[in-house]
Amino acid sequence: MRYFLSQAVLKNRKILVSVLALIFVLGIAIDAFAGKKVKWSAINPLLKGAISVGNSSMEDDETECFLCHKDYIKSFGKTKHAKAYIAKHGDNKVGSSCETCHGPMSLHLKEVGITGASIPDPGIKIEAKHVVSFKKISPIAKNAICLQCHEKNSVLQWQGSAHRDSGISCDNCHYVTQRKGKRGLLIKEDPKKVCFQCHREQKSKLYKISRKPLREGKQDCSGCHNPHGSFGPSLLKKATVNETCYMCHREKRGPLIWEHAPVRENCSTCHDPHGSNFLGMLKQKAPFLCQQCHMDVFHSSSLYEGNSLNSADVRMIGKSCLNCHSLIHGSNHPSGARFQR
Amino acid sequence: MIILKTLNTSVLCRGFYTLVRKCRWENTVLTLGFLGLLISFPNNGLAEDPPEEVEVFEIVGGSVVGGESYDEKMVDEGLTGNMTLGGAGVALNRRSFKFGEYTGLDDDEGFVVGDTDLSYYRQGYYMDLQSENLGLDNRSIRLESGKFHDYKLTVSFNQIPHMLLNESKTLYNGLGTNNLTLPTGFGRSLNSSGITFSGVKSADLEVESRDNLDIDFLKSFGNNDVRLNFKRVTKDGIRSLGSVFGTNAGGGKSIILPEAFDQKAEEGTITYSHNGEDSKVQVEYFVSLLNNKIGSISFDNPFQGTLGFGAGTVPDRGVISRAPDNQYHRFSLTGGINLPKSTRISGVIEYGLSLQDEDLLPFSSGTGLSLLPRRTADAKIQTYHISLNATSNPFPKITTTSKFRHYQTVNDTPKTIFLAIINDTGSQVDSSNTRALFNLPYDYIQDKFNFDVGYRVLPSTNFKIGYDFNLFKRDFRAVESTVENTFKASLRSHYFSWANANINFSYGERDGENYDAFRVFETRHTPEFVTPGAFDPAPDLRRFDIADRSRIKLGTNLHFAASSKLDFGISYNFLEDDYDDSVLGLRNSQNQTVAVDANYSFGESGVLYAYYNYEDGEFQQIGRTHNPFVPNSAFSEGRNWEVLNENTGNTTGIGFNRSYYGGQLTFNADYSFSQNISDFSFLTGSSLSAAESLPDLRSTLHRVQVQSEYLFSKTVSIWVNYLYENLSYDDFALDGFDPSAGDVNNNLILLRGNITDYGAHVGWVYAKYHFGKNKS
Repeated sequence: MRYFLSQAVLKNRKILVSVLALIFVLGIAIDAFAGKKVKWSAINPLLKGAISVGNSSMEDDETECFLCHKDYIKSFGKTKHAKAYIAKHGDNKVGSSCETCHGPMSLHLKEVGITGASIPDPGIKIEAKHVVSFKKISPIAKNAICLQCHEKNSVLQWQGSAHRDSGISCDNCHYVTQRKGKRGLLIKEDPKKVCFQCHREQKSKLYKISRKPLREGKQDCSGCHNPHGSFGPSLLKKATVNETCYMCHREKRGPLIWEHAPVRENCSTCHDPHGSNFLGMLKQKAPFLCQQCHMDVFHSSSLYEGNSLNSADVRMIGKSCLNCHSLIHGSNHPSGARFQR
Repeated sequence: MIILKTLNTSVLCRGFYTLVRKCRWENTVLTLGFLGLLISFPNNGLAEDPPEEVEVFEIVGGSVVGGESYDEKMVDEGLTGNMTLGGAGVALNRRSFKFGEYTGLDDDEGFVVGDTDLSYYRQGYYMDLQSENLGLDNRSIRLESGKFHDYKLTVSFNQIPHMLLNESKTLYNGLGTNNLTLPTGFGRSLNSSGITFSGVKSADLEVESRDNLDIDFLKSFGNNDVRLNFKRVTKDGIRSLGSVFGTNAGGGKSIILPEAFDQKAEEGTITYSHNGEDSKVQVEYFVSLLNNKIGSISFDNPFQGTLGFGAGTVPDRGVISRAPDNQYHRFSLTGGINLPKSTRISGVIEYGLSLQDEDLLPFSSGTGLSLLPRRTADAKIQTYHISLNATSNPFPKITTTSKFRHYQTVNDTPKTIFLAIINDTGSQVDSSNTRALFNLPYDYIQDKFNFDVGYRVLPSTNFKIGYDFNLFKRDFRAVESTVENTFKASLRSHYFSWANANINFSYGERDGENYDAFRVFETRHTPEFVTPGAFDPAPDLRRFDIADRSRIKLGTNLHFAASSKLDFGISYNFLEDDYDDSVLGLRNSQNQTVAVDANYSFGESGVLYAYYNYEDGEFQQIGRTHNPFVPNSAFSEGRNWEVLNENTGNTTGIGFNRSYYGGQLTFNADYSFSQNISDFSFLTGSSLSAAESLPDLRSTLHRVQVQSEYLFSKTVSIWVNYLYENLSYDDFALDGFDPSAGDVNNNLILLRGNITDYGAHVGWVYAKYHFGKNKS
């Protein structure tokens, strides 16, 4: 096997060299053309002219946010976001943390009366206009703010993704200020319920007779899909349906001597991975599923119906076609041309 | 083209380049794609303008403002979270693997309830410990520790059992091994009716353990990250596997085997990421090695004698292959860049290599390896994937998205002729025999291009139109290439703060080059065997995955907040595939779903919710019974038959959450009901006997769940939960057939039970201790 692999690598050395060259060239090119940060005044025009309070050189100059937003910040402090900010900016740099998402605060502090040595009267409600509030901005603006830090790894493909184009914003699925889910900062304790907010039709798949362990919480939608965008179809994590399935079903990837063409191309030709009323998560019950493509002479072209069931025809009962053609995903047996061995 | 010629130095891009050079329309599509990229550049989006000169006003300084001291910390340090400990019990009206399918709870039993959700944080360092179902077979534990913006180590262990069927039987000794033998003195017979089934034993079919160990380490160096990941997955248990003797013609004898499996997969990933402010590059290498400890299963043949149709005498033993060891390697380069004016370009280049070179088994248990055309599989598939995406807002109200994708497999597995041994005991066929077959190393190429343009017609209201071009080229299929053109339109709106809605529609036409089933036939068989006009499948058959097709998709979604307390949503989806040019095969499939849900808030903390889903799926397929003994039967419409299958599903649920006594007592209740029915009916042509409908295939599930939490103190809460579940399942292919016996026509020894209906009660009592100042 080792010799086999080395032969494969040797034969494809041009590919490897080309890939390495592309990495180098692209890396330099991308750095050379790097863009810029969020334009806060485009999100809220009243922020034009605002500067970051984090620009001040004075120490301990950022406790101002606590003056009015203490409860909010204390709640936020329980989140991983807060801990990450503090680790970056320092525990006394609350303002810098707040500004990361709410824009430069100088004009906001001014509008609420925090200038010089004065502080606002806590009893007076002030309508804050010179700040970016997530309650008042568009999904695209919200996302742009989050992408400042998160446009990498699994979120690299957000822009242009189906969810982005559907007007979804990060806070439709993720919490920021109050811890709700165990992992992934999701707004629901149960990750699949986040998806069911929109994908209502998938909820019923949980109750199909043939299903994946989503009900038990052993798997969730993000096991196969990347909701932040991907280069695969239907937001799948990998480049194809099959490559996604192979993440768990490694024994199916082969390659094998006797391959079944649609199996090699797309598992979802026969399977419904979200759940099915037919065993094996099949889209249709055998033999009818098989007969959508197979109609050779004799038995594969025959009709199997109630009379066949009454006579317990071997093609009708049990595993149907798979009673004999059991290696339907492909065979490595020299006698496996018909997927029987 | 300069860019393309540069890329051509790589074999990786040769297929892509050749495609562009040879095909005029693909060239046009590609040009359109790059035009899409070009018009993406001008924009007035959210990117920062050059720094503006602004007046800097005086900022409050010091930790003392207005004379007050502020020593508040944003983040509390120390331990937070909760730990759960308690007990639970299950009462089933009968043993059922279906109830415990993914939990392992298949019978009356008690178990320990143990979960943790703990976090520790101090001065930038943190540690999270999460564990679930510690007392069950589907336990998981995850430990993550690190320093923010520096490093992170995650170790997780996860078990997933999969209980399959608990009423199956077997005749064999050696259960769980790759050598299945019949008991001494076992009376073999040509027909299952002649076999004595007194020695039948139970054989539980289950994935006993599927254990996942995952170790992940991430180290950051400024804007650069290096990630190492190791994963080990072991899986073992017993499944059922069909096996057959008499593989030459009809009249085969089949027995369902208890198939032992024992697999281990080890995977490693190394990733380097450069995360510039607006530019990201990621390089990754992934390797996956599968070790299947049971590469084949040998088994005694309970049948004995001579089969009809010239199949000959059945052998005493059979050998069936299982999945061979394999390995997969993938190199990928991913990048994304935010260009000025809200334009983003991203792309990926991936190269994959699948290898499998296991020693081949002999043709049959009675023959030697010298008859094989080669000794090892020598199977290899390379995959190439290139995707390029560009999005932008070229004008204030216009957004554009362009995507290009090239995916290609290169199957280097040698195409060899395999000369079969007839029925395991006969002689090896010569090259003119129908069983002299070439293995076909299937390949395909996909080139896909999308271009979407969106226009903001009102604030938060977008209208979008799009076009998809999808080209597939395939080797060894009845159609060499198919092209699908899809036109899309959608409207979505968040115009009102209390509602959002969208509707989308698409229409696609897939057309293939001339469908020629003979192409596969003559490639699979030898020239000595092939005669003009010969065929395997009926010539009028069109395999639906490559047949001409028109597809209509419609989807709508509305979410509506009627008041601050009441909101509801409704979705409707419709998908229809029409194969109008297919005389035989799948002719039409149609699916539609309606889903409604509503939430109503009451009191201070109460929520009442309900949902209902309706699904309807229909398939229409036509077949034709034919064989060489009835002349021209392959072309006789009188021998047509039609299957009409309708699948309906009704799923509904209602529940509420409510807190009492200022949150000291919380109560949740939920009821779900789901019923799925598959109905089959048939029509037959004038030359066939009338058909009889099949019984419905039906599953019905009721589920009631109640949870209550009583906050005993600030740090301790007591939970009492209850679940009732009732399932019934009817499957005509399994119901009424005794797994301890063969079927009545003597060709099958079934030994495979059906899913067991059940009624289950589960009760939990446990305490949850909350760490930290407040409950989290």
